[in-house]
Amino acid sequence: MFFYLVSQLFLRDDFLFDSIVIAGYETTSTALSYATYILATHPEEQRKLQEHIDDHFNPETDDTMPTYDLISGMDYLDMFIRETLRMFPIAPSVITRVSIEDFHLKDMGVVPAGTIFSIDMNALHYDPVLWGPEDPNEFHPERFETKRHPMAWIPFGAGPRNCIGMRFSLLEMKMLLVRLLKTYTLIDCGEQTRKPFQQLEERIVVSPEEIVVRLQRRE
Amino acid sequence: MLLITGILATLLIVLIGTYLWQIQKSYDFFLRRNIPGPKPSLFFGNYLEVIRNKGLVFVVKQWTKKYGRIFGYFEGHTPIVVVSDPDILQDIFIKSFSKFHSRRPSPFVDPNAKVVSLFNSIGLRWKRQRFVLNPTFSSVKLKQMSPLIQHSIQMFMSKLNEYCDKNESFDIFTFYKRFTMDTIWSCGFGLDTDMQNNPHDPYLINSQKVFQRNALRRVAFLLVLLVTELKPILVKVFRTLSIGINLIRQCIPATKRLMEGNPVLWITKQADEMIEKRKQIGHTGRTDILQLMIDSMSDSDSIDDHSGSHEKTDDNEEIEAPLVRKITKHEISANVFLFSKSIVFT
Repeated sequence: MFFYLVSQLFLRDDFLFDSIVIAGYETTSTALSYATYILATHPEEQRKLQEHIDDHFNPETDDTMPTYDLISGMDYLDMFIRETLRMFPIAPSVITRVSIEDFHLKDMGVVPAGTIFSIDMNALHYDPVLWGPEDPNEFHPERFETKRHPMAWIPFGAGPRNCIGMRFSLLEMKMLLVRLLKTYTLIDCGEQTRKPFQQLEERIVVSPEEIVVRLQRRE
Repeated sequence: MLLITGILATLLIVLIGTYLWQIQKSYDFFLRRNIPGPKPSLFFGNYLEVIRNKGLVFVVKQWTKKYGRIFGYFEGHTPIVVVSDPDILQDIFIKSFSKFHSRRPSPFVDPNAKVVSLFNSIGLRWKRQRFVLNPTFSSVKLKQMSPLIQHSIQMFMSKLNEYCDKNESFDIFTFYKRFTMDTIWSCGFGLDTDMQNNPHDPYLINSQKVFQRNALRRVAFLLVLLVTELKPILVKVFRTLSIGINLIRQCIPATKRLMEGNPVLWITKQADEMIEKRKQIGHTGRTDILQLMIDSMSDSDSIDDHSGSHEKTDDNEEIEAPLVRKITKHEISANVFLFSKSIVFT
């Protein structure tokens, strides 16, 4: 038992210890589960997204996979995912920077080199000034039609050190959602679907315990 | 004997006392700079509130509401400035990037170690790694990789088909996780597995083990967070023990049952083998992240970036070192592994 515990703690090198901190192969899958939650609990939004998908496909060839070019042309899908990540950023507290020179904070003092800067991502993502006129607490993909402040939407960080895998991850999510919604409609299972989203767990990645839905084949 | 014990005990008390006194002094960091924030308590700073709220998100939200778009709090005695003013953030992340090019160091990583993954690398090393890895995610490369994603989606869809036919509710998150893990192995490591169909697949099992929660690791994490001065020692202790235990496992097979294998070592071993295999057979025609990294691999074992922690890296700065476009084998393993952890990360 002792050896087991010791091995649990120590038999891991840096790579792992750094993974405790960023803990996340669950990132893309968590983003997909938030999209699923929105779709199941907002039937109107689901219908709209399905119509958008249908517009881009020939109904005769149901089995075709969405290609990279097709996905690139689907603007509403892009806004849908962006809006999902605005309301549910996956890892809001992971984005930090360390200064290597003194930095003068407006109206305050000089912060010395080596200080850690972090962000309250939700404050930005739910800021009515940055996201109005529609209420930021409502799911409204069309708000992305308006150009916003470059720092208003930062689930992947920003600048030269933003997420290197951002485009891969978005592509993967979009391809999967297109294929999924072309064949199925996601059905809300009431309390079973909603409860895990009222008790989100934060382990660097903020995610629900599970996402329970039912599938209905589309006509 | 009693005397020695007495002296040692006094020394310890003096040591702890001096340490706490030193810490106490650091708590005026924000006061001196007119930055508002919650009042820290000795030793923990504001971290007890973080623990009580089971994470940062909720408590940071409350603090922003109370103290505004710029405030400071303490994790242990480490001051953290939280900013949510978009213009100041634009300055930090984009305009003044050359002054803010590194991330907060991970608690168990020495950023000056021989091999550091992109997430934790700093200075010129970060710049070189990012430079090599950026083209991996260009439009052209993503387009070439998309058949691999499509293949994984096909597997996912056939799995869902079974559940639709049963017409019952189920946890779709499990299948999303297997799907993303599948694409990681397929697009990252260049390996086709059967993990979406087989929940006992060794690749799936070992990858999931990496992310399991563990109370002891949590304690170690807190220790480094609260007593940051111990970090260099603790990092060395963990490393030595890790290597030691792995040696025992290899030399005495009977101990394998007592000590769990390190999933990280298992995964990096697979990655190393894949790299060797690819080098032998040459280009396979399969475009995946591993191949794209191998294409820019250096023959040397490590690259010296002279990366001091306070080096300035301007994004437009020219570096003339011939190795700037190169990456080492160990770095590939580290970064393939990083990829597996963080497709969505910064």
